[in-house]
Amino acid sequence: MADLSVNIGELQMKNPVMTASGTFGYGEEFSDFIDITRIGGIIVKDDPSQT
Amino acid sequence: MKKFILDLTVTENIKLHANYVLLKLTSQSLLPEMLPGQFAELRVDGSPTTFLRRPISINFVDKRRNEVWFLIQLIGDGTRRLAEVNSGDVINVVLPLGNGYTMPQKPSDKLLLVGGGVGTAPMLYLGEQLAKNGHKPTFLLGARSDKDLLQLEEFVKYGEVYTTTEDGSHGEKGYVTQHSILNKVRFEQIYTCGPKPMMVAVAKYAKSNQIECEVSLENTMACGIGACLCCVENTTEGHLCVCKEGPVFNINKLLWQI
Repeated sequence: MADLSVNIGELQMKNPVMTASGTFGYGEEFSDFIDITRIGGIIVKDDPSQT
Repeated sequence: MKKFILDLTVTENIKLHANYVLLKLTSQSLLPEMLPGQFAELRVDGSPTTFLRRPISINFVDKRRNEVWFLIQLIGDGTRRLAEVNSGDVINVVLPLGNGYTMPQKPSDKLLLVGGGVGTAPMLYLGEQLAKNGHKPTFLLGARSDKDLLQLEEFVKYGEVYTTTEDGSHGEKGYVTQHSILNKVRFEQIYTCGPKPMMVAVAKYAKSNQIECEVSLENTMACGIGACLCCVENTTEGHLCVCKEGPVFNINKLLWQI
């Protein structure tokens, strides 16, 4: 399998496939439908710890 | 409960009234388990103005025929398009979503199921499941007129049915909370679904009479799985997604002014 890993700054991702911002909950909501470990990253709506 | 994305085939599209249809859908494989009070998200194909799936209550599950029923009120473009499907058409459905009503521990004949308008939809499956488990449910169904009272012939299979209409064309005239049965029988548990003012009135009645009560909220929702956060309800446990943590809530958990 091709190596699609990428670095964005200090962030290492196994592939560059990410969800659009705020469209994917925290990922776990979709775990019944897809294997969420296959995508490189999830961009969440916000970080509740900072609000 | 695990959720599924399924292509279901329309077996029947029954026009109950100018504004309501009953869709019966089936699958080639066995339908997953569904609980009374849960709902589904139906994708609306062929409607360019309908981007999001429509959240629709599970009206009934006919296990013998491997069918799930959806009672749909024609409100906008999406529901009007759904009402146009024919037998053999396929609808993509996500189900089962949310949490259902709480089943009583002991057999009871003091269970009141209150439905208003299209909010009667989940009461049919709930009533059937209660009856199947040894309970004797009582239905109190309210609508604007007799034309808006739906599936009465189905409800009578599972318990006593009382009705109210705003114009007095069927049952007692007025609202469900004005029905005389509430003064005659001391119920132990109330389940309700319908317009919010009706549910608030039912919740108020339940609270003032120390009766356990569960309501099914119909907050506007999109994803149906707790990701988009647009259907939140303020509760004693903070903001909760109605689609994921509900749609059924005990009234003690809500911050309604009742």
